[in-house]
Amino acid sequence: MHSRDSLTSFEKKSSPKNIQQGPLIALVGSANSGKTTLFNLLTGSHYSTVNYPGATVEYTLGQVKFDKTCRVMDTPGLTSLLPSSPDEKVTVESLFDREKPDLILAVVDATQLSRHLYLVRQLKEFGFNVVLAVTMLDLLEARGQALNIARLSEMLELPVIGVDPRSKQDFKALASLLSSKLLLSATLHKRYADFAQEMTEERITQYYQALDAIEKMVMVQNKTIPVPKKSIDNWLLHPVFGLVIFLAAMFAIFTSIFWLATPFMDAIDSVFSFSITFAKTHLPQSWIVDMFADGLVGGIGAVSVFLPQIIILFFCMGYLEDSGYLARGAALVDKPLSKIGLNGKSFVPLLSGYACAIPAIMAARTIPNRFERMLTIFIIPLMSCSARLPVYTLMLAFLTPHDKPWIGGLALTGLYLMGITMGAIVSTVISKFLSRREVSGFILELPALRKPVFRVVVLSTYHKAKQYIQKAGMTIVIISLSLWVLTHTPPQNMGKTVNVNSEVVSEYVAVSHSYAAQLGHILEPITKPMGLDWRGGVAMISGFAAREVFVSALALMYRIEDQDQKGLEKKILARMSEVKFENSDQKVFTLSSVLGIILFFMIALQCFPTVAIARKEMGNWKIPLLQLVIYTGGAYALTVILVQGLRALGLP
Amino acid sequence: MGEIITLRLSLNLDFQPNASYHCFMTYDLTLDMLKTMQIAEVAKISAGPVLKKHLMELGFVEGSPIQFLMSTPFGDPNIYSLRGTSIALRKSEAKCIHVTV
Repeated sequence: MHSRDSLTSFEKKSSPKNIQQGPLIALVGSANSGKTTLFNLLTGSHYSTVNYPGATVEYTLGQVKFDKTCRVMDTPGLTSLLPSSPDEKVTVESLFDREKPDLILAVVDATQLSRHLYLVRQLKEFGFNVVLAVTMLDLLEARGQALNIARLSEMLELPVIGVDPRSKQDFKALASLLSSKLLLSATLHKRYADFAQEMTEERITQYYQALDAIEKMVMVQNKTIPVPKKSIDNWLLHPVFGLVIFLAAMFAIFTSIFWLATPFMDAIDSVFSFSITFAKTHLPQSWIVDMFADGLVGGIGAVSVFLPQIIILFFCMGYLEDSGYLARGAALVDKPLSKIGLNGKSFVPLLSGYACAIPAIMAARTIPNRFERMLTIFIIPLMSCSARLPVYTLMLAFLTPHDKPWIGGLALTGLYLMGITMGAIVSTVISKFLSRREVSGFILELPALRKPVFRVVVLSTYHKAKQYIQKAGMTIVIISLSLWVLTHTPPQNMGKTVNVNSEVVSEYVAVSHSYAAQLGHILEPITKPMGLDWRGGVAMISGFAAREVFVSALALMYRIEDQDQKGLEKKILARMSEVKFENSDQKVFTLSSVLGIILFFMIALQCFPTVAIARKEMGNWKIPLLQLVIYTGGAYALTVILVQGLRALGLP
Repeated sequence: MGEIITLRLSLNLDFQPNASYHCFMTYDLTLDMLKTMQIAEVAKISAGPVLKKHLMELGFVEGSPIQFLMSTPFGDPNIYSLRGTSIALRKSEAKCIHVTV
């Protein structure tokens, strides 16, 4: 067995609580081999995403019970042990650098045996303890072919098993095979550096010659089925219909984000505002209850409210990805994206950016070209992530007439399109001014089109949503709590809630003498040109923890109490239309200042988790700091120009 | 002048000059010249070592049958069938792969 010392120290640091210790099985294979489907079936819903300490490596770890409990690790797709993109590098590193797996379950697609066995041969050469699972045997059968598994096992000198993810029996057979092979020990008899040297062009050719010979021996041609002249791809990539289908798919995704999510978001909103009211009316009045209700529950509410949108977007994307369409979409937009300095492989990360920038930036790992990856990460924060939506919704509701909600909907679509337009402009400018030295390329395997496995899509959506809560959730809750404390301290101003009538007045006094107010007054010279008073300024600053906090901060700053269940939004709107600058008759929220808020939120990089993840993924501070300065500075300048320009034109 | 150059270099991050990804010009029949649904055989790859090795690892080795399936709506990349799978390749990359019909 290999060194156990390093293993235990690693486990202590990062194995999640719900995953027990045990031998480690790594699933390795090409991206389209059905590896992740198999992983989901092996582990059920029992897995979590794990970070190696101090590294950008991230993978999913689950557990499965045979005779004893084993840990199962899913790795990003791999074609060769010589990585050609950052995500492939992650996989190779996870096999060699840190925790060596006790057993590798290599997954290969029977319909492209030679290509997928290439990796298996490399693994075997290293001396890994490998079990081979062959998938897509049904597809092979449809082509009139069959695979002689016993012979393949003999020729490769490896245990081989055919697996249909839908069959319980296959699963049992796989489980017993895995547990019997776990007893074997793996000793690597090669150094990685030596291997990389040895993999010359001649060697690759030899590999394939050997594999072609094996494939000839194990493939049985039962009957010849003529290959259909036209495939679905002829429609999906048709010059006209292909574009129509692509646009329709994008349109369907985004409209479902708007319309499908709304009832769920309203439900979550009312649950949280009900619990706040409930806590305040049924618990003894004290500042602890207030802090708990407004700060903590309000903060958690702010996180949960966007879950429906994130879930819907990730579900749609997971569905399209599992069906094989997303790869075709990437190929389709490669040319237009290459015109603005990006790559077809930027498509999926940019699309994810509309849910949340954090998983989107991580998804950019699949882009092999460093420059294009940097550029993709650079513009992802401009995509209209779901955290901006509550701000947009509130501001548009303020601007548009109540009886015509479609105007707001149309404006919202416009704002979403502005995000990608802005990204295109930034990307074009940067790629024109920065000299790029790497030659760009686009090589992408298109997986076979198939009906997505619903369970797998649901599971992956669930885990992406969980990741969002874990990554963004804590920050939002902490900021919400600190903001509550800042608006309620120094403490001498607290506890003035004597009776209902004077409550609003005394609370107002409290907030205007709080630390938050002092901070707001210091910052007022900066926020005033944007058309905001110090209270709006503080709300704006707290939006830097996470954009959605802006809405709950507005409620806190302008003392909007959610006493009945009429909905927080209506109350904020009513309050927004009446608040005035202190010692002045001028209203704070007018056409120009509200437009200014929208513009600012569209461009500014206000999300620190995004900065942190960009730093982690790029490996240095240059890109995240440039993003922070350019986007936030640019947003501020443009907002001031817009607000002051509109006011100069005589608009309110 | 010196300062400007340093700034530029530092903005270029760690991008290494990667000339090995280039493809060499020739007058042979290359993959991008195939007609729709035409079948050919990979002969050799004229490209820098990085691209060449990557293509070979993907299965573009001498003697492999390959078919041009279709292009995409914007005319680039093209879709080829190789060893049981469909692979999208930009024309600039298809140019590096010499084929015999």
